[in-house]
Amino acid sequence: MDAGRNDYVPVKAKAYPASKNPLSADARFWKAFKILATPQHIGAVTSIQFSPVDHHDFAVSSSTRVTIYDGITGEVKKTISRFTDVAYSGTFRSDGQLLAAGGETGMVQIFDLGSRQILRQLKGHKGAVHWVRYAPQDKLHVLSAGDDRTVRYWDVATSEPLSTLNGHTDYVRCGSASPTSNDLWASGSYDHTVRLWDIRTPKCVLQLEHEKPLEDVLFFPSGGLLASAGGTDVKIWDIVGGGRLVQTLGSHQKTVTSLTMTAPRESSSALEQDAPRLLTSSLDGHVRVFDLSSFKVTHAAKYPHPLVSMGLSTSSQTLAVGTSSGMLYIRQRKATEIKEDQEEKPKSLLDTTRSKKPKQLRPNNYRYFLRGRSESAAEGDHVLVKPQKGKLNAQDKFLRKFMYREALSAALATADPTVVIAVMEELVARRGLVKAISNRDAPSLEPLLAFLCKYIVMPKQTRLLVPVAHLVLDLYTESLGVSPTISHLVRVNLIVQILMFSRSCAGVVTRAVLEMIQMHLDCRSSMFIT
Amino acid sequence: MVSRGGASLVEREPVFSRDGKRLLVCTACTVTVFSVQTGEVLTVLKGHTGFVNSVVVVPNATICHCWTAALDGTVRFWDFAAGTLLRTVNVGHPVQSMVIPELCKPRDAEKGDGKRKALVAFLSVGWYKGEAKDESEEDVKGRVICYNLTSAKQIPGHLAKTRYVETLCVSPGGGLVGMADDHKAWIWMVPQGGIEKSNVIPWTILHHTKRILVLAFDSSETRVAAGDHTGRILVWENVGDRTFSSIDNDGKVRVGKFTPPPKIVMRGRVRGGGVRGKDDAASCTTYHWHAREVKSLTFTMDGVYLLSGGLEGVLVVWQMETGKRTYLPRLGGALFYIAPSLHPALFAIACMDNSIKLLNTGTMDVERTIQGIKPPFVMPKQVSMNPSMVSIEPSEGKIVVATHNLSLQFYDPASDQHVAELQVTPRNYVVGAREEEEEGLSTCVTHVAFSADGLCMATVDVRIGEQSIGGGACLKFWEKNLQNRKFSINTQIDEPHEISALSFQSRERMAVSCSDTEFKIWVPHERRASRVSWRCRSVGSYRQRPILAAAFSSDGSILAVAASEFLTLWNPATNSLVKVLSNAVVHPLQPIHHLAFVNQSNCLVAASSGERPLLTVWDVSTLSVRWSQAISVESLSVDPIRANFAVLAGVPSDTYQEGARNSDAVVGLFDVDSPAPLQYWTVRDGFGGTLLYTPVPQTSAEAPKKGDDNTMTDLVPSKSKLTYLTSTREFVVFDPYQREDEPEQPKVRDVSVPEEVSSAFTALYGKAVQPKKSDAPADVLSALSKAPWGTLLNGPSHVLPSLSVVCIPFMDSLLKKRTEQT
Repeated sequence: MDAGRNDYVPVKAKAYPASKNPLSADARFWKAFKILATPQHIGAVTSIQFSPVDHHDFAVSSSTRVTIYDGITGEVKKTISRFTDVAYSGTFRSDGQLLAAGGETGMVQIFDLGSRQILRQLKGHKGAVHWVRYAPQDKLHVLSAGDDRTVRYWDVATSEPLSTLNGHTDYVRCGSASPTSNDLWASGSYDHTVRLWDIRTPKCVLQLEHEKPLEDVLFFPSGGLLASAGGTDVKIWDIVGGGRLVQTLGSHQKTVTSLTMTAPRESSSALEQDAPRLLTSSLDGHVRVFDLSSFKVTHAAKYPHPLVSMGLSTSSQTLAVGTSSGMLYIRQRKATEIKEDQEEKPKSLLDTTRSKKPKQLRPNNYRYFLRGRSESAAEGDHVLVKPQKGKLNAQDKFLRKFMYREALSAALATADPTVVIAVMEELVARRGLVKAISNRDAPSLEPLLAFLCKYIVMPKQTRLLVPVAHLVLDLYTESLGVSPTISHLVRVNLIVQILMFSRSCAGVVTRAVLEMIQMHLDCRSSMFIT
Repeated sequence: MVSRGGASLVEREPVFSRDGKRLLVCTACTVTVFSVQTGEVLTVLKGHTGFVNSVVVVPNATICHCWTAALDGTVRFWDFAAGTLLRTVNVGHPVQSMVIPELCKPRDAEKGDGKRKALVAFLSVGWYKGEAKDESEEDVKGRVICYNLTSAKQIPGHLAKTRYVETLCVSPGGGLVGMADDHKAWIWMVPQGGIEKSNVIPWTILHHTKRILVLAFDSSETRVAAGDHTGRILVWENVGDRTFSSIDNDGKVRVGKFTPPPKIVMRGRVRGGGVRGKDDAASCTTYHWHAREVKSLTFTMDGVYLLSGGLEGVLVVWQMETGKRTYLPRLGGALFYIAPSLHPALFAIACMDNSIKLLNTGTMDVERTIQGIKPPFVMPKQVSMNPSMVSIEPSEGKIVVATHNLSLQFYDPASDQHVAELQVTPRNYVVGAREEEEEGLSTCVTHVAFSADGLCMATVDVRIGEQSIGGGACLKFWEKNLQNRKFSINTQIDEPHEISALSFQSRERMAVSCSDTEFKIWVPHERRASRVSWRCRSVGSYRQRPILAAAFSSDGSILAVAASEFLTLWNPATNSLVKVLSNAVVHPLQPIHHLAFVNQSNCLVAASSGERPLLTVWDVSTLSVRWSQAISVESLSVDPIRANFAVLAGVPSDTYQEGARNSDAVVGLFDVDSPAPLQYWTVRDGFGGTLLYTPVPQTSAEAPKKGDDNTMTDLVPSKSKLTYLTSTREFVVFDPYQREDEPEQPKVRDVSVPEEVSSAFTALYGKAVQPKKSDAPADVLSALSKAPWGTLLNGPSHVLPSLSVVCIPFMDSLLKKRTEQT
């Protein structure tokens, strides 16, 4: 008992019970995508297209160039920069040999991916061409949609338009090829309609009223359903049933810019369900994953920039997300199964023969005098054990010396919320939390504010962090102008978080907390939100 | 048989016996002798009728005699090995402190005189008001007098008058006696030839700007250390050079005449620029580390180190030359006293948590702890719910009290011994925080409850928020491990609700916790295979009334919940309200604080306190009041066997005043059938007291008697005792059904370790000398420590005993006889 009395008891992070519904298979699957690279492009990344053959390569259209990335390493493979104006919609041929791209000039150009030569220039559009696709089944035809309100079907070999599909009354910005039929195409336009075309007849087969300017259109793998993105909504249409609206998915805050669907996997162990997932990216910076069997959001990821394009490799290994600021996020899922196979490689017989016999140490070697230092005690040896001192964490070292402010800073540096909460509770028990929070300068206040911004909405921590946030705001109102980061953190994040928190949890949080927030907002809104 | 216990061990300085094997500790009106080796109680010296304040041991290693002084105005002489009183000297004044400088000197010096000198003690006594000679001395309550213990006569006159009765201290050699008195320290020099002969006691005063709390002398008797209430330690060098060396001059003071302290005479030049107040000292050095009051100071035997302890609970070892400090932190409470022993490295530290720690300064290790029942703590003001911090473990009859540092202490009332300690939440206790005195602890255990079989425990600990940030409570369920009989945590529930009462059902695993508006029923729940945890099964409330008490009936079929003044009966299985009872006799009704089902009957006892207190006994079978009585109940306990219950009835509330806080209270034993108590006892310190029925473990002789009644399970003992625990955690255990008290047997245990059983071989030839193995290094080490001088010469050189101390035992150990028998 006495020995223990003299030892310092380190602060222990509270152990919470395991979540009752642990991460769903979807969440685990999508969280396994780790960031591989984040290259910065000059202009907005308007299009990301994966190669249908080489499962990982993808073409990124941004500014006046189309860049081919290797999706495995995240490195640039090739850059095609032979555009006189902004290039749009770089897309692969079905065999991955050629690349077609539209552009601001209204010309569709065909490149050889090996030599990067311009093979063909398809001229005819009178406006910018934002969308180009090769026909999925053959290697000879290209469909392009332009701002001249037309969709054109080209024969690449002759560089001649086979047909011009008229009907749209505004810019045509997106389209999709039916995976089941060679002749069925869909195009979406800013005139709020999706039109289905049978290229054998230059007439519109079906017209779907989306009621918002269309940003993306995507056929389901079955070919019977079609998803259209426009405004904040994604609408699912039944084409076979004559264009019946099946579902409206409205979970984004801003315009949905891109639609991608996971390919039906052969033996998907991570995603048990067979139904494909629909990925939507939006200008609000979110990527959402919808389960198409239930039309429910199964996963969401947040990016710091407005998203304008997105692509997923057919093997669902690589995900690329392009933003309006030109930042490209390449995420990759580790293929764990492959590694396990490699580990089980048996040792070759050659390895065993190479084992050296221990070298005899002689007194001319320095190590001779150090021999036996790491020897373990033999049977019957009397072992003197030096009492081991437990290693203390930085925050514990400071707490032991009653340096409360430094202890809190050290806890914040660990970036582990449970540790920070444990240290805060220990400080409360020692009546030192106010001291630890007060008198901070800008560099030491920033981590605290960042922590508060991030975790104030977590239900486990809210009870402690909401009063702490109030205290921080009370203490540092006067010195807000000192650091731009702090001003930003306080003005934007904390207030917005508290606002969102009060809005989203109105029914859950206690009335007292709400009143506090309300009071706080009343007195502060004039100060911060300008 | 009545047994008492729970006295504070740390009110007064502990004293080592001369052979260093016993430790004499003042425990209220008695002196308890502990064994240093085992920490067991050897003897209790009973006889004083007032608080014992000082113990002085006669410096003879072979005779175990000591003098004690107490507030009852007597000084007594004891043989503490046998525990017998040898002599009583009546001083006539309450003695606050006694030192006998004669007894500090080495024994040899006394032998030279041939005949015994008169034993003169310095006493610091309280002086009654009536005895003051004139009006100006009315408020001067303390006197320092000399008293001849041999002739039992006071030497006329007094040495000093003090405003309050202060504590004396004496130098290790017995040459100086000191007393800290407000901003000054009195130093008297004991004349060489004896006080009786010389009749002159020179003295000097050391001044300080702060209140001095404690004084210490080093062995050379030239250095005086004083600790003040701001945490500074002042050390004066060469104290009394001028005064004591020139006795015949101005510094002379005749005993028997009190003279006011003379004005400081500037004699020649002022020596030592740093001298505070230009006192009679060569220099004055200030040492400052303690943030709060310095409570205890001691020099090591050689005077090289100074040990100081304060409210922080950190022992600081100062190297006097350099001012370098070594610390021993986290000793568990403020350090009240540091008592030196004859061994230079061994010190006894009296700690605030009612423990005496035996410290080895060589290794800076606490070697042994003598732990008493831990003191109560200041409750946080914010805790408004009625806490129940005391409980009894039903299976073993241990008292369980909540203590500082979120701990529970298991204390055996029968043997008055500390059993175990359990920290509810592991954390470091910051001792002596300044806010603690004003606002109470920031964390504390407020409730503890046990299931009937004692295998399950529930605790509630709260954390008080700082500026209302971060407060919270935690309900924990513990399971007893049957192998090592320790509790381990099973479930931790953060923020259950504001718990005001906690109770277990006796049959099944079920617990109920009550709060402001609701009660929750907790049941074990199998989450996974072989992992059972507790969870809230249901929540109930009655008209949003505050709930202060709840109880399960003995068969577990009824849950009684006191919702303010209403008594609600629930079916715990279905969580349905069965009946609401209200005693309509008295209006307005007071909220019910205590609730219990009486065993062996269908009765329910409800007690309320406040303006119109009421004790009501309900018959649950007829739903009617059996009887009720206007008693303000402080605590209620139900006999586990008979249909009786005992209440601790406090002062009636209309006469309740602040002054009447700790006045008398009555413990009444009631039957469910009649409002007249079967028996009652008056007790002191009624406020905040607790009554607990303690099951007595069944002896084998009583076992067959129990066979005829099948209603009882095997676990229920056939006898029970009543324990009354005061708010200061002193307790008395008695059998409420036994009228006459048996005479107590004074128990005396010997300090020596039980000897080995002598065989015929040893009887004939003595002990055989064991051949020693000398090959393994382990044996060398153990042989060294087993050698007779091994313990003597253990430790660093600065803590080694002086040669004169070591020499005789060392020679004795070498010249030890081979056998005792032949």
